[in-house]
Amino acid sequence: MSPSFNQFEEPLKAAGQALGIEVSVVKVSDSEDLPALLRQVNGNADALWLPPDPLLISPENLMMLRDFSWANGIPFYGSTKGMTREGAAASVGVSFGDMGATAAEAARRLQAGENLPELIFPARMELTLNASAARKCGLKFQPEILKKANYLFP
Amino acid sequence: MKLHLKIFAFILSLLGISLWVNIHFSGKAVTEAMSAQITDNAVTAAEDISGPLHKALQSRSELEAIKALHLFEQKTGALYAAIIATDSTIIAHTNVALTGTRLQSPLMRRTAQTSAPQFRREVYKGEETVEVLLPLKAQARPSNEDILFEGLGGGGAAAGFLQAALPLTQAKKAEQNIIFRLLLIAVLISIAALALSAIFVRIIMGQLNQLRDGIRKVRDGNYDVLVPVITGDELGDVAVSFNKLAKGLAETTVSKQYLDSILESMPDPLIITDEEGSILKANMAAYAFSGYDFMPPASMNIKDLLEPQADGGVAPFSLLSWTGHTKEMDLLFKSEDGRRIPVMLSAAFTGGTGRREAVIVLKDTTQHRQSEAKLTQYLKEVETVNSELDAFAHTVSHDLKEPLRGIEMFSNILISDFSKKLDPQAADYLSRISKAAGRMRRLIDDLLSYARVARVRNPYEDASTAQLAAEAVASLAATVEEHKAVVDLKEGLPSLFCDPVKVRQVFQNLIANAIKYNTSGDPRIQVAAEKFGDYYWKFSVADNGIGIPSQYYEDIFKMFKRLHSRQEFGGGTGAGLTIVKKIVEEHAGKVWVESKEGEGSVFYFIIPADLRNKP
Repeated sequence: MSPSFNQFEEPLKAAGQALGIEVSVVKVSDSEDLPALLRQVNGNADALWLPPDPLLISPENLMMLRDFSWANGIPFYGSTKGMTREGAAASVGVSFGDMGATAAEAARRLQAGENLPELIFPARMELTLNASAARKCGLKFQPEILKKANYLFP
Repeated sequence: MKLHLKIFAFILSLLGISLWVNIHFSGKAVTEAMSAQITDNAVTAAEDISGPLHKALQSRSELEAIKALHLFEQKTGALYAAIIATDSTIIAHTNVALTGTRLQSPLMRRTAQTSAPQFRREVYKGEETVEVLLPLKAQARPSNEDILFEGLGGGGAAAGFLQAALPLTQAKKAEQNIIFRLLLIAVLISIAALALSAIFVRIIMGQLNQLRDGIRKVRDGNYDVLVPVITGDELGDVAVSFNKLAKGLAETTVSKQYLDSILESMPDPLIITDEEGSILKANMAAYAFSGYDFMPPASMNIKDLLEPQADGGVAPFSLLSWTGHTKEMDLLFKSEDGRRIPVMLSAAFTGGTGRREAVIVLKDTTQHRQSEAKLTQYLKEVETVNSELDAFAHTVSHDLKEPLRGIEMFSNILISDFSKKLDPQAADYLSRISKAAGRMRRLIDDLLSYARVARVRNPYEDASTAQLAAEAVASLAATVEEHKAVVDLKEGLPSLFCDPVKVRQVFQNLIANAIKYNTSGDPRIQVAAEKFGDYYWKFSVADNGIGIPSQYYEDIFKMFKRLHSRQEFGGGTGAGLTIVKKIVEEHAGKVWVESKEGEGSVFYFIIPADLRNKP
């Protein structure tokens, strides 16, 4: 993750711990380091989560992650529907539409003279699943997850 | 299993094997072709991105290489791809975890040797793929020679390799589609082949069934069979040959029904047994005769039903087994009601070794034996009567001779002593009385001779007929001398087992007649003999006498039969030939004459060479 994501590290770890998941952060300073870092985590991680970091979000990296994930049975989770479409097993994030709508609402409120916090978030979250990617990684979605999913790629 | 089922099983097996071979090898060929096609597509895709590939190969940059590999993936849909160095080290892999490891693939060595793309089927992550390994040629500057032989050059050595796993999903569908179509065609061909085979089998079986029915009929003894010739092939030839065979059999062989009808209509009991005597078959006469029904076959044995007529005799069936046949054997047959019926058995074995059957014919001799006993009784009575008659004739003849002798003697005394005192008429009457008495005496003598022939039984012995004939001629010496006759006894007169006294009498009577009935002035008599068949001798007494008219050939052998007046030819009584006939017949022979009037006669008689050995 890029340095701009440092503020999320601790909350992520805490949230993971609360769910019984150990969250290890692999910091990527340059996307050229990604192959070597992936080899490094191979065998040491049960899953990968790719935050919506502009440093890492590129078609090449997504393909690399997808191939690594599918070849080694290590599912990777993304943060947008697009990542799920490109090969992530699942993504939880905000759709670009909601982000746009939330930004527009914030702009209107600012114009109206309201004070807004430094960070605002869209109210609605989106869960997308990729059945093919899950199958290649040896995962099987539970029915309740499937019910919660907003979109399922076959 | 029936023949048509065997043929179908064979055809089905053949079709099954053909189908399997067809599908297997067609599938293999299609798979190979599809794999080659996929490999060609991969080569084309690699050529399209040869720039990035060679760049990555030269720079050894993993990211550059991964980019090139991603391009390749996007073009081909490869499940993975890798760039390999010539030493098998993976420079870059879409699964980055494998970068830096060594490639373990059997394709590696072959690709390095041939510098040509290689492929194989491989299952990757549960998905069937074609693993291809493409050589990546170094982009060297062409030599002058390469330019000279442009188009013929083989290219440079591989600078590295591109490995990829290409999905077969689409190809597999096409492959399955092709194989399905091939299978469909093969099944249709098989159905057509089966239908044709069924028609073929039906034709063959039709001919075979006809032949089978025909053979059954012939086996049952019905030779009047004509099998329809359905096909013009070898089976048809067999049917034609069978028809000829059946026709030949019908013409040359007595049918079983015909034989059965003969056997059943036989009035005498007929029984057929196996080699051990078990009764296999019997005709109606046997049922009626014995009271047994002889059923089921082989439930009774003929040995248990036959007994020798005398105690201690050889078991009849054993004798039959030894000799193979027997004729008119007198036995006792135990009937169902316990009676012992006298039978005459004739039997013979038929068939080859191990399959011999005895055909036994029985003849009920009960009536025959009763008749035989009656006949024996009658013969004894006749012999007694004949003996009494002979004795009576002899006695009467002898007693008659006494008064005749007196009449003749006293008539002669009167003629000789008182002829001067007698009236000429009375003397004539007296002479006639004397002659009549003399004639009657000769008749009585001949009658006595004839009676003696029948009555007197001289012992039979081996005797030379040459000697007997010579003795007969000697006894007739005065007559021979008187008539200046020549009697020729030919060589070869045989020895016979006979009554020599009577046979001598035969020669004597025949020679005497030959001399007597001869007016030639030069009587010539010839006595000869020759073999007559295997058993008889034929004697002949030939003369050059007056001959005998053919109508008298039989009459001359009757008692006192004369063909001439009493004054002619010495005035015989006519008993000589009757005596000859009596003697010859007593020797189981026969006498007859052949003659030509004025030229002479030949008297023949045949006598068995040895009466001790009757034929």
